[in-house]
Amino acid sequence: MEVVSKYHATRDDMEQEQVLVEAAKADPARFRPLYDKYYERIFMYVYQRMDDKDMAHDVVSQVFLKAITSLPKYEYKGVPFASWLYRIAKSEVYQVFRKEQAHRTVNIETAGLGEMMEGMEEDRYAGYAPLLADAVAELEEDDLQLIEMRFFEKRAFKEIGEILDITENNAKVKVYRILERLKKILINKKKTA
Amino acid sequence: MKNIKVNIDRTKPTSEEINAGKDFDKLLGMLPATATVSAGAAAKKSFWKSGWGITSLAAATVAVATGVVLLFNASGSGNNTAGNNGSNGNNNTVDNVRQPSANSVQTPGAFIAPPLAGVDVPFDTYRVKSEKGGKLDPSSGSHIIIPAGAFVDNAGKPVKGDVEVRYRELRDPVDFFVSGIPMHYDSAGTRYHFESAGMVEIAAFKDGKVVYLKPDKKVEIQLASDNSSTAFNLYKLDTNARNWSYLGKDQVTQEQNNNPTQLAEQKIAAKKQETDAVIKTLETERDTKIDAVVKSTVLPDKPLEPKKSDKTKNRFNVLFDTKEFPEMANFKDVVFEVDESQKPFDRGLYGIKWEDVQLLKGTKENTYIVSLKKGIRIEKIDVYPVLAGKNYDEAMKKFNSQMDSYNTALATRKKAEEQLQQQYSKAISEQRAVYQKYQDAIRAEFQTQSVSSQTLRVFQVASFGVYNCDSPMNYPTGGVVNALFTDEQGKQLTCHSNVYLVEKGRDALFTYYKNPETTFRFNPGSKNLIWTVSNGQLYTLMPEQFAGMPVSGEKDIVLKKVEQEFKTPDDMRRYFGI
Repeated sequence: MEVVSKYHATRDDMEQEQVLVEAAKADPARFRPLYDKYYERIFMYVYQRMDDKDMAHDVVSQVFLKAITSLPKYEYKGVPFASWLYRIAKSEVYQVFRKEQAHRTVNIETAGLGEMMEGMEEDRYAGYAPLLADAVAELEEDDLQLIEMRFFEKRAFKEIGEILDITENNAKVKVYRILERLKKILINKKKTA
Repeated sequence: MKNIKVNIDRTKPTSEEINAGKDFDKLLGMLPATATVSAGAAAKKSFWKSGWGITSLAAATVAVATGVVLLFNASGSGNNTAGNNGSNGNNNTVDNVRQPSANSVQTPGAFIAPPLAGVDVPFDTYRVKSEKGGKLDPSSGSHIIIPAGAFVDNAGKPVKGDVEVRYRELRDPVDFFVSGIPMHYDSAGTRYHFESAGMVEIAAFKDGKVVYLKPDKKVEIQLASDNSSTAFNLYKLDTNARNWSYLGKDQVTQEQNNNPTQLAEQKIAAKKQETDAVIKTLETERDTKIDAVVKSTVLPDKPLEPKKSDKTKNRFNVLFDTKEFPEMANFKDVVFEVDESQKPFDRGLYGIKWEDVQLLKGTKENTYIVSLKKGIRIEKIDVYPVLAGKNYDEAMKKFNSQMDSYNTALATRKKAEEQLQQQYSKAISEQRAVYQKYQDAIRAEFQTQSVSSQTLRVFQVASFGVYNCDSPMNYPTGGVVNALFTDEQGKQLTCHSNVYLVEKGRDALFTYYKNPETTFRFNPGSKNLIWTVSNGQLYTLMPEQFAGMPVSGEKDIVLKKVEQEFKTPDDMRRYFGI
C-alpha cells in the first residue's frame, strides 16, 4: 500500500516559510500567514483525537498561542514548520486528557481499516475487519498515535517521523510491529467471539 | 488503553465549522495575558466564542498585522506609485514587457502540470523597481499595486533594483485545464469543485531567482471580472498541502472610468481583434476543407469533343500513340487539319520528303502541333483532329456519354464546395454580426453614461502564488452513470490526466479520476462537454453527442480523437465554442 501524504514540503517551500517565521519572531502580528496556512490542519489533528468541536477550537487556540510565545526559541532544522506545530498540538491535546477535561477519542474511517488489513498482507484477516476497530482502541497511546497518523490521517512515514521526532525508518518498523500485534489481538478476538 | 471512545466514520466538520474558531486578531489579543490564561479547555465558556482578550495593545498590533490577508479597501488603487527613474529610461518604474511565451514559469511544487504539451496560459512580464514599487495594468483592466521595498530574497534580505514580476489571469475552463491548476478543493474530507469568478497567478524573480514578499508588505490585486457576485470566496493554492487554502472573501468594487468613450472603443477594438482572429481561422479551415474535397473527388478526364472533317482544308495523317494522347483514344481514322487562323499554310511543305514527323501538344488546351524535320530544318504547324462520316458519329456518341459523366461528377464536387462556402460564409457572417451587435451595444451603453464602471475583485496578498475567487460546489446532479470511456475503436482510454466535464456557460471544470468511473455525475439539463487526455492525445465528446446520455445505468462513452492541433488556449476555446 502506498500512502501519499499531501503534507510533503519541498526545500523551497520550507525556505519560503522560514522567511515568514523569522518575520514573526520579530513581530507576532506577522504570524498571521502561518496561522492562516495551518489553522485547518491543526484543527483536524486535534479534532481527530477528541469529540467536542468547541473543545477542539480551544485547544487549537492554545496551540497557536504557545507557538507564538515560543517562536523566538524555534530553530529551523530542515523539517517543515508544521512538524513543530504538530508537536505542540500533541502536547496540548494530552494536557487536556490528563486534566480529564476531555476523553481520548479515536475516529476510525472504514477505508482506513481496509488499508490496515491490506498492510497486514493477510487475506484471511479480511473477515476480521469488524473486530479491528475494537483492537485499535486497545492499543497503547504511543502505538495508537502511529496507527492513527498512518491509516486515519494518511500521513507519510517521513512526516510521522518528523512529528514524533523519530526517523522515517523507525516509524516504518514501529507501524509494522504494531500491525503484527494487531494480528494477534484479532486472532484472539476471533477465537473468543 | 482505557477510556477511549471509538467513532466509526464520524461526519467530517465543514469548512465553516472548522473556521468558526479561527480569529487571529483575537489570538493576538490573548498574547499579553498568555501567562495567566489557563488551558482554554478549562474555561467555562469556550475561549473562541468568548469576547475577551482584545486589548488596546492587540488593536495596535492588528493595525500592523501582516500575512496572507484580505484587506477590503481599494483606497489608493488609482495611485500610480511609479517614480522618475524608469528601468527603461522612461518615467515609470514599471516596464510592461509582454512576454507571451513565458511558459517556463514554474510554480513552486511540481504538481501543477499542464496536460497538453506546449499549450498554457502565458504570463505577462513586468519589471518593477524594488525600491519604488509600482502599479501594473494588464490589458484585462485589472490592476496590481506593489508597494515600495516589497521584495526580499530567501534569506529575508531586501532585494534592490529591477525585479521581474510575472502575472497571468485564468478565467474559463480552457484556462484552468491547460494550466493544470487543480480546480477542486478538499475540505474536511469532502471534495468540492470550484466555479471561478477569476484566478490569478503572480510570481517574482531577481536575476532568475525566486524572490518573496517582505512579511509586512502586501500586494493589492484588483482583478477585473465579469462577475460581481459576493457569493465567492478567496482561496490560495497551497502547493505544499496540495490543496486550496480558504482565506475569506474578496471585496467586490466598481471602478469608475471618466472617459467612457475611450473605454468603449478599447473594448470594441479588443473585440474586433478577437473577431478577426476567429474569421481568419474560419477562412483557413474553409480553404483546407475545400482543398480536401477537390483532392478526394475523382473527376473523369474531360473528353475531347470530336470535329467533323472538312475536305477543303489542308490536312496531315500522323501516326501517334494513344497512351500519349488518351483524349483521342476513341477516335478512329483521325486526321489533323491545318489551323490557318493564325498563319496561312504553305502547301509547298507537302512536296518535301521529311525525315521525321511528330505530333505534339499545343500551348492551349486541345491544340496540337505537327512537327516536321529534315536536317536542321524544322517546321511546326498548328493542327486539330477531325473525323469523317461514321467515325465522327461514333466518336460524338461516346463524347456525349463521357461528357455527361464528367458533368455529373463536376456538379457533385461543386455542390460540396458550395456547401462548404455557404457554411463558412454563414459562420463568418455570424461572427461579424456578433461583433456588430457588440459594437452597437457597447456604444449605446457608454453613450448613456457619463462614467462607466468595471467590476473589480479586490484582495491583498502577502505571498506570491495562485489566488482564486471561487465558489465551491458539488458534482452536478440529475444524471449518474457507470461510465467507461473509450476511443472510437472501442479501446478503453488510459486517462492518466483525468476526465473533465464542462458545463457550457459555467467557469468550472469538474474532474473525474477513474476510468471506468462508477459515479459519473452530470446535469442532463446543461450543455455538457467532456474531454480527456490519453497518451498525450486529446479526446472529446461534444454537447450534441452528450445530449443522448442516459441518466442512469452503465454507459460506454465514446470519445472522439481531436485531430486539430492547439497552439494556444484561444485555439482550444474556438474549437469547443467556449
